[in-house]
Amino acid sequence: MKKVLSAVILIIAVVLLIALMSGCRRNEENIFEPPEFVYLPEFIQFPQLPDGISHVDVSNSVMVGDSIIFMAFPEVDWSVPNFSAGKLFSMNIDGSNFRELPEYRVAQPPAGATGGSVSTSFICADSDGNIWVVETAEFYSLEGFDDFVIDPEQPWLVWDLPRTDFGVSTVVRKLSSDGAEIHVVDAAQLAPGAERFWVQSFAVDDDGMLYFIVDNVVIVLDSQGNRLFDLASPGWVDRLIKISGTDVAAIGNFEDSRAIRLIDVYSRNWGEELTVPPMAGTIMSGNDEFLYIFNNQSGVGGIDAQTRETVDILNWIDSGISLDGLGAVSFLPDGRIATVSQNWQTGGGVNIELVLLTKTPYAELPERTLLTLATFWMDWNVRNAVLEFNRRSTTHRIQVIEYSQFNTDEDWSAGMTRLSTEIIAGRVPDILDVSNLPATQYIARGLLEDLYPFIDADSEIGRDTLMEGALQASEINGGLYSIFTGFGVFTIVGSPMVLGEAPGWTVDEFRAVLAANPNADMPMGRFLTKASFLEMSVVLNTNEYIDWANGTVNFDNESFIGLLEVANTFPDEIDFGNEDMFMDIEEGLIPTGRQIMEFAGVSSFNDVIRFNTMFGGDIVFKGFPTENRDGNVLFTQTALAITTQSRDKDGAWSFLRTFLTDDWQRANVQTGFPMSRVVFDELAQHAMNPHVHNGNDGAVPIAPRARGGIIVDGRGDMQDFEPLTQADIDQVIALIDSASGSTGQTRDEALWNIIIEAASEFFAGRITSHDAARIIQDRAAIYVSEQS
Amino acid sequence: MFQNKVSGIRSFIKKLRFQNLKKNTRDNFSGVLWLAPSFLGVAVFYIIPFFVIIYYSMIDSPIGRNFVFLDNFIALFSNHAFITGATNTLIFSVIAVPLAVILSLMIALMLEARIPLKSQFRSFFLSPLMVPVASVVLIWQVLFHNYGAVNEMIAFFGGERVDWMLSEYSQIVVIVLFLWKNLGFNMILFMAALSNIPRDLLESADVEGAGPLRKLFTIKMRYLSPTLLFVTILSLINSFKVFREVYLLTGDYPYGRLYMIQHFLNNIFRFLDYSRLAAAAVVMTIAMVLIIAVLFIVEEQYGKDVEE
Repeated sequence: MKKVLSAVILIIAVVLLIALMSGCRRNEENIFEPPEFVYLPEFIQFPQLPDGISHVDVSNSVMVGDSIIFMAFPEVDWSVPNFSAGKLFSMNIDGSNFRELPEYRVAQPPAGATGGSVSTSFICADSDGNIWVVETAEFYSLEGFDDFVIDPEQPWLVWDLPRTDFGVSTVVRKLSSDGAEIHVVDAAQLAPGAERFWVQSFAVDDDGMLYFIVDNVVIVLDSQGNRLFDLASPGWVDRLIKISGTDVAAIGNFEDSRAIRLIDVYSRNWGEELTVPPMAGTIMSGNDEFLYIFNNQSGVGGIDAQTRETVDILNWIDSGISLDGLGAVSFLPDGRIATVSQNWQTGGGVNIELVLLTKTPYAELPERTLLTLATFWMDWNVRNAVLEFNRRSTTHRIQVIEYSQFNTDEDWSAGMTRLSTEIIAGRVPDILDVSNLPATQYIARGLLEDLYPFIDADSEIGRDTLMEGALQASEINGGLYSIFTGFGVFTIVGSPMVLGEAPGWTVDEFRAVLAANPNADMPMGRFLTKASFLEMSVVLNTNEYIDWANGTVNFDNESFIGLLEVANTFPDEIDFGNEDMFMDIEEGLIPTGRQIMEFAGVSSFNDVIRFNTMFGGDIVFKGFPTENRDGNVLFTQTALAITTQSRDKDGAWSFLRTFLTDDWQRANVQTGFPMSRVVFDELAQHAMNPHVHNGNDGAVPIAPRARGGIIVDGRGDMQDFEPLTQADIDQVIALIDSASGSTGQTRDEALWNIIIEAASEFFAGRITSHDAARIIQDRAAIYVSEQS
Repeated sequence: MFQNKVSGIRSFIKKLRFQNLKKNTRDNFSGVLWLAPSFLGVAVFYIIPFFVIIYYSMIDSPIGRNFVFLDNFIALFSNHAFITGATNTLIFSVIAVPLAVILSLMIALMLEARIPLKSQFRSFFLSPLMVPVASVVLIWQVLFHNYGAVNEMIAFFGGERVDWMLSEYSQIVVIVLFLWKNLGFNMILFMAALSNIPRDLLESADVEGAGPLRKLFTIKMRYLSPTLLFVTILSLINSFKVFREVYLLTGDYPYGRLYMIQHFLNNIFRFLDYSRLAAAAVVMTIAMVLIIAVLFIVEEQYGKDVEE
């Protein structure tokens, strides 16, 4: 018996041991789970538009057989009376047979009309391949127009002629595939008696029944135009789509939630309601396989017709397609997916491509090393860089996982929780977009790699080719744990005549300046409240009060207490209803001494030009008041990091380095100072140049006053801006070099709550500033200590 | 002949033994099989995670997984937040648990005596058990807000307002809340135990002229000792669970005096500090085991003769 028991216990012990070991093993499985299929694109270029056509609207198109039908708009000079009518074009999906539908005829103007337009607002197709369009015609006549001679210098005078409107008419036309009219339905019955109405949406079902949304009511007509029934919405209805490619349903807000309701033509009532996933964007018609499909953040999802489950159909990055300018998505009968990409070219004109996506097993993709990039919200620049990298690289492919897609209506932090849980479980991505993530905590846990060794080993990029001041400000314990595409500096700016020549100040010096300027009743402008002043002074400048490395805080000192008291002199909230507050701005706050400084996020030379103009041509960057007079704080844009667990750090660096190259920085950094020293110098040189006006006679320098713009002191007056001088540029470089720390793109919400809760009690007069500082110190000490 | 008989008996006994052994083995084996699902459940959800937690407490992080032995424990004991949480939890338990035991015992003894409105009092002390925690917290917020009912009363009598939730007084508020919530249940347990004390013993003591205090300490307390231990352990566990009320009252980061060890555990989970979380859990487990062991030893010594 003992032997049997021993054996049983041994077996259980072994099982437990295995389970234990499996729980403790280093989990190195890839965070990315490859899909079974991807959709690979084929791009069909649209031919050159014929003369007389200004543009086409491919977002409002329909597939009929092997052709795509879409609207085109003629070039019309609207400065004088004219006639304009939309046209219908078609193109085979292989790019051939691009043509105008020859037989399509719009409503003709009545006798005596001087001008007007016929707009085609919806195109649908029925199961027989016929095309249905909704047309709205509007004509007018100008009395005496025939005898009026238009003055080319003042053509608008023609509009002073007495005008008679012929009213608005709306019809629905059924057309053959070459545009010939088969049948026409007068849509006036949709809103009897109304002079003008707007068809919000239109659809046709397989039985030829016509569905409209007019004034938030769904109206159903039979194919001959007889009104069958109306359906009022309990909320609001937005659009009509076909479900499973057959039944028509309305998308809208029903009982406070976005949903889709089928229209039941037999009971003449609302039918089944389908829920809409929270992350669903534009909803589109499905096919036999999917009830409907929708854009989500990263691609296209759909609702499986059988299981009613939400499934991911395609991911644009996997397909190598940029989201920019993409139109609606539809299924072709052969299972391919079609969409249209329309992008404005830098040199003018539009590039239009029909994109046909073919379902391909993932295993058939060319073999490359996978790099995973985890992000919370995909940055536009990063998305395009990934696409470019995947197109260019023959050795690596980046797979993006966007964790915000896991958020739910009930839990908006579910994505964050999932990312944290996966990291704890050892499923760590190669690259992390830490722009919206707690980078400091990740560094403390050893998750992020120091990037200096990669920069130092790079043949093209080095610390000396980058803005070293910005790099140093973002260092943590001597390491650089993320690279960023651009940056700026938070500071307080003003005239040196008022604030003093030397950069930096203490809270006492800050208060002394306020005391010396009793007229400054809005010292930092009219849009600063107690809370916003405190927020920018503390939350953006946390390094002054928090030593993260040692887990200590420093709020219970006279400096912070003084800051609380200064904050208390600001208004509780901006009184937008007080017109006087805005009326007396005519005088200008700064010239009258009511405003003496400005909180600034300096992220471009234009900012400096603007501040120079605001404060009379000479400025000083004082920074936030701190004990050491070092309150200029760096802020960064799009911070990317390599994880210590990455299995191919060099591969990850080959992607990250892209963002630091001169070419990328020159082309993409729009809203911050560039990291590239070369590009920074180019922009500085440009800011020192006088404005150049490119007139008909060629480039004409306008010096010395230049660069028109709108000054931000509330008046909105146009001001002339001066170009910068070398001294100004040196001042900006000194500002960057003096930045004492780096703050991410997101504030520390928990810390801010601790501060503002106690500060609000002080602002409300319920506790003293000393008590508030004591409470903040007490609570913040715990918060910081937890993370040290 | 005799030999044959003996041999026959022996073989019969042997056979019987073998059959019993077989039967016992079969019974034991089936017993193990019946137990296996429960045991596996306990193993999967308690035993294995416990060992995994010990493992995690000795590595640097779930990401690096380098063995650091006791470094996490050393770091833990030099961490201000952990020390604050542990100290507050200890102080709270040291004050609240004896109060909860003594006061509930006193109420039970009072209700055992012949006093008027006995059942009303009993219902009164039990009523907090029926109130959901969220409502309790709401009531407490109304009472102890800076401009709440308690401060209004103090102000009415000319006293200074007290910032109950954001000062050193905050722990008093939570102790009162804890007692209010727990006294009733403890009281019921004591009342049940009191009713089980043999009447003849008490009557004999009366006959022999023992006073109420002598009867309390020499008879009643002896018989109450198992219940006393149970109520103490229960109150101790509940005192560790007071985090729920504190969290609802003040959130993740309360005033320092209210910061409990569970705040620490809860918060550092979000910071991915799994190793320190595991170390703190191990420390907490050891502390609980030690305290309960001491209580068992005391009870063993004090109530031994009664149980015998």
